[in-house]
Amino acid sequence: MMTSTVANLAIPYGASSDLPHALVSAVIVAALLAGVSALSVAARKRKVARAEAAAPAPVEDRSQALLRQARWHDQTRDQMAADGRSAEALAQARTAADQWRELTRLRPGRFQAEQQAALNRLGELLAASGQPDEAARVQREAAGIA
Amino acid sequence: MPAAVWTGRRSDPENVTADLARALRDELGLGESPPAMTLPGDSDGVPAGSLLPPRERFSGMPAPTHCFGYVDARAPRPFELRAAIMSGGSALRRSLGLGTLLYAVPLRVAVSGRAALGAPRGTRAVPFEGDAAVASRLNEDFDLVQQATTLAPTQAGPDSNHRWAVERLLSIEPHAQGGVLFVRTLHRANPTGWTLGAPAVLELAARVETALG
Repeated sequence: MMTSTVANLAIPYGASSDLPHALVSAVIVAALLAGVSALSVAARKRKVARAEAAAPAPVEDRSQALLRQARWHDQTRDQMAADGRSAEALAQARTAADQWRELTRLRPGRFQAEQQAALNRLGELLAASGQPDEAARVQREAAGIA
Repeated sequence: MPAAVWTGRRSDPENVTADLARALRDELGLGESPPAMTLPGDSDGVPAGSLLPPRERFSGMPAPTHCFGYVDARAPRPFELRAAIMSGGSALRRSLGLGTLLYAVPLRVAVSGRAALGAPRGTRAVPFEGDAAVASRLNEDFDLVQQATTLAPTQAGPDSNHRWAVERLLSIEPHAQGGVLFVRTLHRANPTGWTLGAPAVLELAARVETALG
């Protein structure tokens, strides 16, 4: 009985001799996979770098141009108002207000003070040009900006 | 980094950007997701009013940059995140995955000049270099240097295919309204999926302010 239990627990000769072979095989396979993977990544990186080199230079985000335009219209509005060119100043003020509205839409949480200032200035010019209803509406919009 | 991959119908840039904002909300315990938008892949990645530098022309990544997810958070303190969204996939399934993350955190202290974490040397913490006054004050706090080193990995992975590697960037730079902390990092897999590491970035910003204050 005892002899048969020991015999059952013994490792078969073939299995014990296969173990080192299996380990070495696994290491070789892992090394080959790592090598192939590294080569593949390097090749993909080169391909991406070639595509990036061939692509046109990165372009400016649209909101940057909008910001420059809004500031330019602000300045032009004030310059024209100072020169007594009320109608042209009003047109500039409308454009500036539209652009600040668009900017605050594109950049939530940003440029609210600038939008508010542009709306208040538009309201003043509208009131001065005899358009009190629209002036009141614009000023309400300005007051509603958090 | 297999966790942050969007495949099939989910591989839509708007969907990825929304997931980034949600991840930040959850990581930072915010009431709602911060404002986020998708920037085109051919853009410089800098919307109006942003502190982020223009993106580099060469990504150094093994997959093309499809677009960028941009988050402009105001809470718990102002910071910006631009995440590169890469495209890939097999012949049958298109997929999008997260590439490098670039954080910009405005600091409440003025900075006299630029200081940046040195080039990595093995696993050791490397001190800040650059403006002598700024670098020496940062290097006085060894834990800060260790924290910065942990946050600015140059390698991550490997996933089933490969290892990601990015150039190290962790710098403190002067700006009109005070200093700005820039951190380039990578997302990390965690038990629930993946993390953008925002709490660690904001914690480092607070520590930098203490060291320079």
